[in-house]
Amino acid sequence: MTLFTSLNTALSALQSQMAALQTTGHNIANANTPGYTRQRVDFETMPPQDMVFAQLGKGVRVGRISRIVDEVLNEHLRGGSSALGNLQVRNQALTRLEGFFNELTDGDISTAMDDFFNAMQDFSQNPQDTSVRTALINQGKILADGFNFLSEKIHVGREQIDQEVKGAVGDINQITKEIAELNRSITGAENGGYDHDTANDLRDRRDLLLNQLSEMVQVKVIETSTGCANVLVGSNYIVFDNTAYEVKTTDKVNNGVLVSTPEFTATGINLELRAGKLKGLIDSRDDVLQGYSNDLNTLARSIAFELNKVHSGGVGLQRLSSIESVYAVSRESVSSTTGAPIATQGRVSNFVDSNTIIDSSLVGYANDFFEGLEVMMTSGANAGQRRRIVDFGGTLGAVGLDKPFDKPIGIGDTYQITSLYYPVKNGSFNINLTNELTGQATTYNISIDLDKIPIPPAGPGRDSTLESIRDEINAELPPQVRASITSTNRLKIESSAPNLTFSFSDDTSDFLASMGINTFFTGTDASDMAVNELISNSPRLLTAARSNNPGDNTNAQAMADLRTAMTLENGTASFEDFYQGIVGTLAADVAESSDRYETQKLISSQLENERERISGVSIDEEATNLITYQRAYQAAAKFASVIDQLLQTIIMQM
Amino acid sequence: MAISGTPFASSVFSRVSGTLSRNVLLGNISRANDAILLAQEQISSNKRLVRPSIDPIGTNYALDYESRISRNDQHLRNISFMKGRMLMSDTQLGQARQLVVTAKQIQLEMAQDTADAQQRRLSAIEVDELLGEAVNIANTQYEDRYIFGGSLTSAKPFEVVSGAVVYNGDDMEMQCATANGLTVAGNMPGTTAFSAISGEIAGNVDLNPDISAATKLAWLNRGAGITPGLVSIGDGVSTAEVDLSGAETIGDVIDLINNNGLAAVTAAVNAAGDGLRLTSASGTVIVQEVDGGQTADDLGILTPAAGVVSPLNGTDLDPALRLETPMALLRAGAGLDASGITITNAAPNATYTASLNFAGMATVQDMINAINASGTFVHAELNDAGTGINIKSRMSGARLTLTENGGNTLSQLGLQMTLDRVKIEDLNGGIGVTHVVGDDLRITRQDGTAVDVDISGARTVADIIAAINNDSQNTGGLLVASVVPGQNRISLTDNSVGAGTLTAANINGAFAASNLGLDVAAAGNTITGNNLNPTGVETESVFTALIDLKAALLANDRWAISSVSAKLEYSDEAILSAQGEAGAHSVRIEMTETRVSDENVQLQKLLGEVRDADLVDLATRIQLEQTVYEAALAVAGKIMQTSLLNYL
Repeated sequence: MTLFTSLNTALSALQSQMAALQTTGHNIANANTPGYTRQRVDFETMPPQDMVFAQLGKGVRVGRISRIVDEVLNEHLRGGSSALGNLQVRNQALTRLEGFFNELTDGDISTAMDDFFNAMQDFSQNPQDTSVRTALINQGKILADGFNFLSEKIHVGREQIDQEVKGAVGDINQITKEIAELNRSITGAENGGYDHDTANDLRDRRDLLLNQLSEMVQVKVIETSTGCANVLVGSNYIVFDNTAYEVKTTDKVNNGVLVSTPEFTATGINLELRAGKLKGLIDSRDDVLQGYSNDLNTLARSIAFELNKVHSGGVGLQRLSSIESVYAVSRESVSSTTGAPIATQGRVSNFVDSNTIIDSSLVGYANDFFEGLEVMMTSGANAGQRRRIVDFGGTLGAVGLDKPFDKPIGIGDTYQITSLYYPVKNGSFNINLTNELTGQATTYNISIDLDKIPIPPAGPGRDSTLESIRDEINAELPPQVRASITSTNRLKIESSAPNLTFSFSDDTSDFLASMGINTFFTGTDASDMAVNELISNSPRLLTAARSNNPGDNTNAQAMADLRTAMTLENGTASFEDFYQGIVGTLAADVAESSDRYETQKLISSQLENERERISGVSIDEEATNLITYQRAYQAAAKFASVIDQLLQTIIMQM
Repeated sequence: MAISGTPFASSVFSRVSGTLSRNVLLGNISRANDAILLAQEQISSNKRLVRPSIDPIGTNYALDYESRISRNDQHLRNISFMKGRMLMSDTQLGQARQLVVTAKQIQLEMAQDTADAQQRRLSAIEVDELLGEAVNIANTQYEDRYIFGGSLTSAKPFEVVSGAVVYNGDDMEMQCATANGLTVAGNMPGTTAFSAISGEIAGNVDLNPDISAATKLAWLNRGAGITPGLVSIGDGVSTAEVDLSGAETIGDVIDLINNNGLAAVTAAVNAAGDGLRLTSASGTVIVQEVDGGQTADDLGILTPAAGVVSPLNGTDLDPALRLETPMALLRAGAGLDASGITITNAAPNATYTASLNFAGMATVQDMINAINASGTFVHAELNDAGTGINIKSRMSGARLTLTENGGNTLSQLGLQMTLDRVKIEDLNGGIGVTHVVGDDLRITRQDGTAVDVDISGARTVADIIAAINNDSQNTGGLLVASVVPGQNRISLTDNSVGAGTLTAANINGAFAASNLGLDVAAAGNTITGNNLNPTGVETESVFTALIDLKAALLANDRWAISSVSAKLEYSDEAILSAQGEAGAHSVRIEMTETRVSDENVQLQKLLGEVRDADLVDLATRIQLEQTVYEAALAVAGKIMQTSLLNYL
């Protein structure tokens, strides 16, 4: 042992305490850095000198600088982030939707419905009053606008969320790329695992990124012996060693909107989403918003159709001298010799797969007969949905569709093969001609033959096409009133005699409402519902009466009665009931999702606090450490100076 | 409501990092902030339910209350529209009654022997003014609408034509919703208020149309229609179910059975033309209901389970008479005599006659249209039972008669006015039969029994005949009164045995026996009365009474003036009952109004409870949250500025 050995001991102490002071400084400096884990210097003694009789200590050295971290907690934190991200997005979408509905105010659809039917009552009490007619039309417009506005908001909402999906996928790629880079750096810094768990700051960064990734998509992290974090989404690696697997979105049309579906760029495999923002976004877009949009469409369609059925069979203050249907049939349903009927009722008797229906009642129709028309489901899980027929086989009655229905097809579901937007059935309607000079009215019955007998393309008595309806009108009515088919396949009825006008009544086939002849509303769902221009341009055509007398209010009363009529949900709900159902469900959904969100927020912050408790920097603690290390440093310096004095003593004595 | 709670630090002793204490503090502050914000929002909007999600169940209640309140408000609006109209009707009817009272005074005075021709002429002018006034009252407008026109509200419903008053309106009562599921008539048409349309000449023969392929199922069974559903068709070998629920017409049913049933069983209209016929190649036809349905029975083709021998002839489906019914199908397919009918409506200053030939008419609608367009001021319509047509006069002060146009169409339609259907005031050229309080005529039987008959309650000749035959003094019903077939005379046949002579005489100062043409000598046990000379049908309106009174005054005919008294009485009663109806109506409406407004007050209260903010509660809560907030801030200020460093 020499004095120089002691000087070395002092040096080791000074250096070690300096390192500890530096680490304390590092901790204090990063007290507010997100994801930072406090570090601690682990001192250890230098190998002692063997003095035969005893071991002499030779000072201190820094063993390692370690992170104070709980890996299990980190994994919980990541799970919490995924759940929180999912719920946050879902809650956001629902809250936004609740705002769109604007319910319980004066600007909501329930108010618009109330006002509309109140205006209808006013109309029924004052059928001659033009200002009341105009007021009713305005209320109709407000109601339609309300539906359009909500529908548009939901549509835009879906598109926005879709953009967010794209953004989220971009973020994921960026994060995974960095994680892969960090994997490489950490393996390098830790000498391929030899110095395991020493690249503290790099690991902090990686933990932070993994947390951010979890917020986007639920992941599973497996750390290898070399220090790499391999990341799985479902059962597919998104990061493996130094490689990040890029994801991208592909577009497909879903209910009229292009929606992005995330998938792996290289393999095309869809991401398995269980939680996280991405899952929340896609759910909000395809379930939450779409679900409410479907309900709104059902309501808007039902209001329009029920009202149109009654309106079309009434008589206005002024009768018609010319009318053209709002809707056209497709060219397949025009010809009376080769065309398909304007509507053919069907019933699913079996199915081959989700886009091929088998219907035994269609056996015997010529192959390809229905191609180009659409299947419109009228009952079952897919009621209201339409699919184009791309193939038809008459041997089995096999109807091939361009794409599958959203929900499973049920045996016994009914549908129509048609090109119209509302169902038409076997029946008839009356055209009533009025001689305006004498007031005499004459009724002509026009049959809409849709009984599927005889099976086309057979001869007389076959089901109605647009041409056969035109021909029947022209055969029944006097030559002054003619029906014709326009170049766009719409039905037009015109009177050439100035004193001969017409109106309609007793439509048991719903042909008039489905074709848009003398209707109140036009449009097929919430997005395009509108007051028929014919009516809004001349309010006198609004039909209050079922006779030619101006004080007759029977038709208006019948329309007003629709307010409480059980027209929806198989005759168990009125328009109001149905709408209250939508709002009630939304309110409960919002309340539930915000509850879950708040709960998850609590859980996540609890975990976050737990992490902070273990890994966070406490200034008090650091200050204490600072003093400790400072004092140790001072003592070591004192020790060095004592050794120096000893040396001096020896040198001076010499 | 979100789960309330604070992200807290565990109480177990452990380290507290700066970020941790900051997070906990921020959590507390933001929670307090949220609560204060919500309370502020609720206070400023005065609504507890600022968003539906605050209370989903409450929201459902609130929406329901809101829509019920809105409906009730509308009902109250409807009621106020209607009250105005009914009040106006009531007032106008009151004035009309005043007119009748004045007319009655004039009639009483002028019916005296003391009145001379000059006085009667002057009174006629007065009556004419009353008539003009009555027409004005009947043409009252309220809010630009003629209130007594039924659904004809845009043009004057009453107009004077050739000295008579024509009603152009109809009998429509405009329905008006006054409460949920409750509608009441919101107007009083001229038919009710003034009896402006005559009693109908009702077709009393069932026109019994046959069916055809175009006959709609809804018309069958007298308009009751059929229950849509499935039927099972069998031939004893096999069976097939046929779905008839989509069928609209008989033709559809036949097509469906022929195409979707068994090849061996064919359907058609039966030979009688009134039902279906099913023919089976196997010789047996079985038609059964499916799943307890009613369709086969309604179509008249239900068989026993064992079936019947082919062909199965269905029962008569008895379709109701409709405007669309082809003329050829009437009278079980025999059709109507095409010679048609002659309509005569005789007004004071002109007689309107139309002879209508039914040749070439395709449907019932053509026939009815032709009658209505004949320019004779009549109204033809289908009767409610769906068996025939009725014809009424729209012209007050004119007499309507229907006669054959050379054939027997009128009797085929059941529209012939046989004497028993004539009203007694239309007898004797419109003078009618006078009667007094108490018994009006005495018929003495051969057995000496005196039968004193009171005819006060009788409206038609048939009523008088019944009064005689059923009189309590007519023991054993031996005295039989009847209408001489094909003639306008009443005959009395006495089946009693005695030495006396059958006689009929006036008693109590009435002239009933003479007026009924019965005070003639008996031939054996029979009296055959004089020709009663019935006139046509007329309306029982106040206009008829005034027009007749005016004519009688001008003619200076004391008997005629006296006989108008009955008509004035009828019209007075009619107006009085209309007024009573209007009054009762108003009372009902007011009751409904009270009920609906009470309900609305209740609903408003309920809505307020569920939707509106409880300000006291909110103020307390905001105060509490404010305290929490301030405390959190104070703690934050303290903790954030202290650390060990301050003390080094």
